[in-house]
Amino acid sequence: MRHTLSIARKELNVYFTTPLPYALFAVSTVFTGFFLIGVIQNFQRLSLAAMQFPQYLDSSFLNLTDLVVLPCIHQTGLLVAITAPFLSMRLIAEEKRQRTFELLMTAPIRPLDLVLGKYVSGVLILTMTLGCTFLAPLMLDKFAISVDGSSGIEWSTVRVAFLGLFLWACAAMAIGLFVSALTDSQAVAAIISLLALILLWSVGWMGQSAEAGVIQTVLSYMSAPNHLMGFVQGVIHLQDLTYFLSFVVLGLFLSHRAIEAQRWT
Amino acid sequence: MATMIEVTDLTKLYRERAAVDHLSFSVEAGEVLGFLGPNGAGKTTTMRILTGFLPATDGSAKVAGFDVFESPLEVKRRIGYLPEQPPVYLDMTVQDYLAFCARLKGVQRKAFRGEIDRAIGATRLGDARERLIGNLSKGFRQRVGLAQAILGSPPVLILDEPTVGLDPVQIIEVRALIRDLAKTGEHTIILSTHILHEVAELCQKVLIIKAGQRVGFDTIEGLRGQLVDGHRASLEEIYLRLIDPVSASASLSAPSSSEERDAS
Repeated sequence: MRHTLSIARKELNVYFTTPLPYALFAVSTVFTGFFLIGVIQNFQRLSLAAMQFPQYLDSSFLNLTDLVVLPCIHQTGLLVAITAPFLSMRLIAEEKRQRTFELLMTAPIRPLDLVLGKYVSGVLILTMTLGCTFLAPLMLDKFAISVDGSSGIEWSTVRVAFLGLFLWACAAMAIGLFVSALTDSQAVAAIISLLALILLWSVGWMGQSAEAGVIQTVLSYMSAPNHLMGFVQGVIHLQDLTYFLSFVVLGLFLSHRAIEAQRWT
Repeated sequence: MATMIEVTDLTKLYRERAAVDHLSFSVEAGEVLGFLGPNGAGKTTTMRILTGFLPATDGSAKVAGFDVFESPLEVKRRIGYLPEQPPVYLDMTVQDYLAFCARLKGVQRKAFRGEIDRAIGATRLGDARERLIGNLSKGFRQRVGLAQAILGSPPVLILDEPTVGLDPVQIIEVRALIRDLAKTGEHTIILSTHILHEVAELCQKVLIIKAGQRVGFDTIEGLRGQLVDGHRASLEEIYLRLIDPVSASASLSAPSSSEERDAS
């Protein structure tokens, strides 16, 4: 445990001496801004329509949380799929390239400490980039007031949505860590994990065009946005939880095997 | 004296090619062993197996009675290792790097600062403490690597070409440091190098390998005794005769051969 923390601590130190995290924070903030402007404009159109044609559109459906905050959070899932590979790529690949892997592997620590330490640091820094997205509901909270005068943001739903986003980030990091453990090239690690995550994000859309049947069902079960959707609606389904956690466990297990393999071959 | 390192029939195959071929030797506690051999003879591979970085294909290696493969953590706790390329993080300062290494090695909290100061003092890194390792010269990086190896005063030190790429002054300093470490008698040291003069100066025993096989393992005196008419031979002559008997006899007949003195 102590070694896990030392490795995580060193990893975070090194992250923040490079410009990478700052660049990713900037990217996250900008994209969240784009998403937010998009959904707010949509909300604005709907409100205007509801004002002009009250007989067709019931304005009680115009809920800021459902129509603005949650879609914005759901779209941020794609942002996670794009940023995670750039944070995970260096975790182990760089140690191999710089020959510092030899230091870690000859130090009296278990490979598990190494895997967990690296993972914890990666998840922490990815969570910080999610924090940039969290600015969106915080900002809206300043302006939005519901009919009864309380906050226009349903924070309990938003919290569950962020939990889902966090779990997706954990899964993405575990996949990235494993890929990084397989190669000594950061570029290769980034490209392969990006491919894997984009596939997980888009496999559901491929499923929609597939014939109804087993394939479509399997594809829609594999799709990350489908599982994120439950959280975004404010509901924690056991199967969604299992989906993300199984990626975490599988990714960590395979990373551990990949590092342990060094001792055997 | 107790046996600190015991290597028996160690073999390492890279696919079909044997990098280390049934190598056996042992080192007593407190001894300094010079590890010699041409490039590609398997020195680095042997050292990597001893430190638990690589597995052996066959045979066994024991450090302080613990098998490297069976109980890697016990072995790693007892070894300070300086690889061929110093394993340093270019984005860290010397101090942060050593603190990280000390934590990895499980240096006790109470002894923490003192231990880092000791390693910095012994390798004369005092002026570079706050500097980024990426901005240091090769010689300084080598010293940082050495400081890392002696953190926690491990009973065994494995140094892979510790003086390669250093300037003459640094070479003398690193040698002096190794001599100091050896003098305390607390460390068993394996040292690989190409500078024979260094071995003659620092080591009690010499292990010479060629193509993964042992061709000589004794004190310098002992090796001399093994050669016919070798009682006055320099270490260089001994080395050449063991590594390459045919051309050695040709070149040694030329009168100009004398022990090469390196820059020091």
